[in-house]
Amino acid sequence: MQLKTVVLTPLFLVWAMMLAAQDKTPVKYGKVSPEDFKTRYDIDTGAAAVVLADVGSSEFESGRDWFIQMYKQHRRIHILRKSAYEKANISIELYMQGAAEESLSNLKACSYNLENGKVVETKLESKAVFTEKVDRNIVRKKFTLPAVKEGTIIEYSFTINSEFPTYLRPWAFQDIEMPVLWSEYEVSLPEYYEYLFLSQGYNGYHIKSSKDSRKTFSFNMKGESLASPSRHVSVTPGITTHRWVMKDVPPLKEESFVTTLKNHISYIEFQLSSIRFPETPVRNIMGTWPRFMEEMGKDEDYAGELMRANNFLSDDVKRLTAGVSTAKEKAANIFGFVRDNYTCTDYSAIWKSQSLKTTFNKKNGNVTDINILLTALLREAGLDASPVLLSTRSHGKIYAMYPIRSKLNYTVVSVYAEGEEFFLDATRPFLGFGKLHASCYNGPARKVNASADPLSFEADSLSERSVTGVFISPDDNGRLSGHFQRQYSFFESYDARSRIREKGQDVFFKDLAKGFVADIEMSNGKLQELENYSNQLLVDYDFKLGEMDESGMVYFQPMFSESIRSNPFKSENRKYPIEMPAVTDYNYSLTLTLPENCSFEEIPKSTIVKFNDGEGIFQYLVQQNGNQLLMRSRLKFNRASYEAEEYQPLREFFDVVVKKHAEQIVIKKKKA
Amino acid sequence: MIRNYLLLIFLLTASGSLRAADPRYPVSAIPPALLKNAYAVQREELVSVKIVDTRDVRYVHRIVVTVLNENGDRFAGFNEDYDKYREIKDVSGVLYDAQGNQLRKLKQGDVRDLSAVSEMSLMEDSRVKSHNFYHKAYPYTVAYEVEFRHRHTAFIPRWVPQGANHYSVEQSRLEVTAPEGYDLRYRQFRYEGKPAERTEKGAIVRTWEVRNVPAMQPEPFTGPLRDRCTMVYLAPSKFSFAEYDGDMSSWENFGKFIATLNQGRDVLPANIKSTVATLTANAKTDREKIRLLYEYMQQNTRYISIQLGIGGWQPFDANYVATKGYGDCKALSNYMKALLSEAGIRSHYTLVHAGREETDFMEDFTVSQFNHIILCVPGQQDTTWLECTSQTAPTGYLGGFTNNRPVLLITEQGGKLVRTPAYPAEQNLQVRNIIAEADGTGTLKLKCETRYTGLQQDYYHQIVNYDSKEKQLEQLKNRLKLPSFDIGQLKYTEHADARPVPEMEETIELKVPNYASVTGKRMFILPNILTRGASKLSSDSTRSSDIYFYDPYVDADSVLITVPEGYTPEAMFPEVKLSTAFGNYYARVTVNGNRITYVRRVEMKSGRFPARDYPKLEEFLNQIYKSDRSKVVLVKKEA
Repeated sequence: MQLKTVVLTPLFLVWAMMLAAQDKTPVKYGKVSPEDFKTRYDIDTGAAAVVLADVGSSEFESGRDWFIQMYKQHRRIHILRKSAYEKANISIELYMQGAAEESLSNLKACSYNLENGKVVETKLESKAVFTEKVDRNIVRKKFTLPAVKEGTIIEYSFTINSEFPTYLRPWAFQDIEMPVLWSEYEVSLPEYYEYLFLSQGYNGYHIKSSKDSRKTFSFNMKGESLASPSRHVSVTPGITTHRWVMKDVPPLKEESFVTTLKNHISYIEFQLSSIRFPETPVRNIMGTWPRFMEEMGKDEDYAGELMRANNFLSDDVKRLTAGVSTAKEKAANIFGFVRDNYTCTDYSAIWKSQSLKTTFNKKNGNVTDINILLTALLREAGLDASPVLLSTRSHGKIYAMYPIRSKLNYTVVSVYAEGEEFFLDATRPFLGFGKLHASCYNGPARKVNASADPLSFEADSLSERSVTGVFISPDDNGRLSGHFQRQYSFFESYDARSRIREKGQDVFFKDLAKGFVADIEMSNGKLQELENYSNQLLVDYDFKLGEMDESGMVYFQPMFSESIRSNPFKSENRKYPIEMPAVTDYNYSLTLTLPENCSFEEIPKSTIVKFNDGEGIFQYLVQQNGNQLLMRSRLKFNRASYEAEEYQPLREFFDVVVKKHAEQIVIKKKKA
Repeated sequence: MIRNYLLLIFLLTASGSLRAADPRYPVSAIPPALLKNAYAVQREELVSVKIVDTRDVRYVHRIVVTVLNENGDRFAGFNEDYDKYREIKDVSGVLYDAQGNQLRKLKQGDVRDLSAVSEMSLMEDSRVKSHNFYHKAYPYTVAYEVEFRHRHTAFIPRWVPQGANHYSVEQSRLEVTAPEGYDLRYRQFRYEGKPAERTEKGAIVRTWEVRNVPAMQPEPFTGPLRDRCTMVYLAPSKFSFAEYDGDMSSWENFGKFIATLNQGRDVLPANIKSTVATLTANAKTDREKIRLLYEYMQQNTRYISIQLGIGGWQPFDANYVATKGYGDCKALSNYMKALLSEAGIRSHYTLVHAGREETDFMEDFTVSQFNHIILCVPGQQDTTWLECTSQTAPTGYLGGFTNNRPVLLITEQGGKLVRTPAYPAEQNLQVRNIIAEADGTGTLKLKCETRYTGLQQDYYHQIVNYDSKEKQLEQLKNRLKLPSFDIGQLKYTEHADARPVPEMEETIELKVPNYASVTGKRMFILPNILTRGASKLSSDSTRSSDIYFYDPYVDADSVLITVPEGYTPEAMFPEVKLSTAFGNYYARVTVNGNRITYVRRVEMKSGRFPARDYPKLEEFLNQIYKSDRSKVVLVKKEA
């Protein structure tokens, strides 16, 4: 059975106590026997390494003055091939912020080799553990296992004590390279804290159980003020321990057209939903979207500064809106100013990294810094603007129903002008007014306002349309010459603009000539709408085809540069959905007139192929009128996302397109 | 009152400094010739190196760059490594607009300080400081001044005033101060004349300067940077690193320094000594012993890089490698040397500048140009070279990473330069045989057998030994320039012990739908299925730098395609035979009944060719490009 959809199980629906006595964790640290050194594993006979067991737990413990979180992990890996030696290099990241930090303890690691039928242990020396200070917030503990060869079993275990008491570490049951034979996570929760459990993936649980108990915590809570003494507190809440186990999980490998493997890997994570201490009212942490957005709106690290007057912006706003009458023009000027003068240094950030004023002066910041600045400027101009929170495709899907902060990583801006709503993103150099980047088309989003208006940016709603026209006719000397015109789709326009800026127009046209398939002499290259980022780029040029050779025959592919030359779906099968970035619609037409002394010897046949009852259509139409030929090719889809089961027909559909696009026209010179 | 007074002073100084900031470096002052092809213009540069003593070098780098457009942004920031022996004492920076008005100054809090542990290392002690103004109103100008203090003299900064394409230089100066009597050596490239020299307070100051250097354009097949633009290398005579002192005035003396670092680090634990004895007990020749011990080392160690302090120069000792089973190039080579020594075989720890096609080396200027260690085992008839960081390399084969270049042997008498072996074209083969069958719809089924040897097998050796079957398939998919295909079989057979160089056999079975395009009664088929020349060359401007080809090779193809009965050739391309200084090319297609036979042979030579011959190279490669894409047209006879 496959678990297809995300299962959301609020904690208060606790399962009845039903602890199965069987299915104990199959490994114990330090216990490795000669029988453990298998030479092959049926789950993946070609695996370079196999995770024999990965066992973790999170539980609440007593800290000095409050709860702390204790995370333990024990991992055992069998290294079978040299290519997996890097699996013996371990890096553990510890996070710190302000006075709170995570600390590593009880680290042990050991390698086991089978020598003459006996298991030989080589332990990690404590001085072989290095500490790398990555930046202000992250420290990495790094070590490598000694005595690693082909066939070595390694294992390591450690504890992390975290002073972020309610942050529960997520758990991945699946690896993207190694099969996992046993993956187990146990979470013990005191009754004070309620969490949402969010699990996903295509592998079922081997065990999913819970049991109840009690546990006493004690700490010295700080006094109300510096003067008042701390007081000793002891509590004994009920504890529910949840346990999840997956067995024999194959690796999930990356293929083309996937938003991110994060959406598909077998995984569980946790979100604190409410706190209920005895004799105090229940505090809802994760409530409704409106409440969440109200908090984000007030939060100094998000939109809080928008609630104040930001007078330092007024000079620029006055300058940008001087003499402009409509709201849309005002918004466009302000948007252009931010886009063209500010640099985005981090495209994945829910929080601002600095104050609004610092962003304004430093001219750089993360995506939220810059788009909050844009919101502030728009509001300063009296416009109705609000931030919009979303998750980019590579960050993974968000849950439409649940406001979970860690699921969001990107801010764009909504602005109303003359009653119409526009969505803006000033962090990308070539995005036009009212356009969003491809990475933002990832489903649900929410506006940061009182009603937390739900929005949706679906790849399925985004049409990527290109239109190409080619006209070929004989010139005065009887040589075939032509005109090429192409209107790029929006994303293509974005990419072309950045290529043109990087390499210059000359190189851009030279590359076009190289990619034309037939040898051509190109001239009069023109670009329209190059600077007008809201519009699609229009490319024009003239060309001359090569001379006819002695044989009196000319052959060419009538699609020229516009043919789809290879099938984008290279793998023979697929285990997870196909997620294309947009709904595509490619249009091509050719008008070809031959000189009097030539005739068509052969032309391709017309074809119409439908995919999935018209959800995709490929039209290839050819019409000949004496010395003139009209040809049209259209490749159009109605959806961007497809189920894994639709992979084969989709791949076959593209095979037809590739084949048809490769067909040639044959022209013959008439005998004199 | 006092507070107000302080505020007043602050205001005065603030306005004072504003007034002092008269416009500097206006863009209008740039000579027009320097704007051509430039993304950025270096307005001023000072590289000042002051050697106080061998453990104290004051190094100041001051640079002013005008960024003309977005592409020049990469020249706008500051980014420098530091560690225990290289301190960054001070950084300052200023941003100016196009007119030269000061816009902003660097704030110390904006300087990022990050770990700089490289991808290939488990641990290093180097860190990096970086800063950027992220300005976007072009053109703009940034000025940075960075002060360093080096507590060693093993490397002295070099001067590369230009060093990048699309980057012109208005002015740059190198100023080197060394105590009188200190033999500071230098080697200059593409620099006319000698440095100016003066004596100042018991020290000799030498200066080099360039002005108005126009921007370079990127060119394919170029040699080392010093072949294209001005560079001055500096080298010490007496030098220090950590607690060690050395002398770099000759290769011999530099070798002695390395020998000192390695002294006493080759002691093996008793259990390994007895393992050596057991392993080699029945070996008859030294060659056999070398192979046995090398394979033992490969099976029991792996490459792990840890570079801390002197550990960047000095190997972990043999005992460390024996107990932990890992080490870097220094530690593993030193360990292998100890194993051989235990078996009575003499070998030399060898310094090399590794890297594919990085064979250029200044032999007549002693300065550390090395980044890797290998082992040289001299023999009576032949020398064996060992790459000790590979768990899979055949005994004695170096491959493209360290072949054909000068290396420094550390001998009992000090350092000695020798060359590693070069692999001639006939040892670097790709011999390919394809048997294919096209059906009436254009679908091609083929079996392709390829033998790769020498440098051409290096890549395959790597993927066969280090990549999973899936990755190998994925890499094949990326290599195949075919519209659509299914892979029926992919098999590699390695002949690591083949002589004189290792070989790899590859068998591929493919089904390629639509390979031949069938239109009505015609079939168009490209007989060169898998070995097409890479790309066309095109150039507008005159080639300015010499052309370099490093590794010679031969590709030989023979293809047999069977098509359905009834087709006869309508158009075929003529035989192509090209013979140039760069290499030779031959291609011919014949049709016999329903069988198309295609043969192709390319031989590319190595060497340095004058820039003026570039049009000939262009013609040669473009002819290959065209010939490789010529189709055969077949037509079906009317029934």
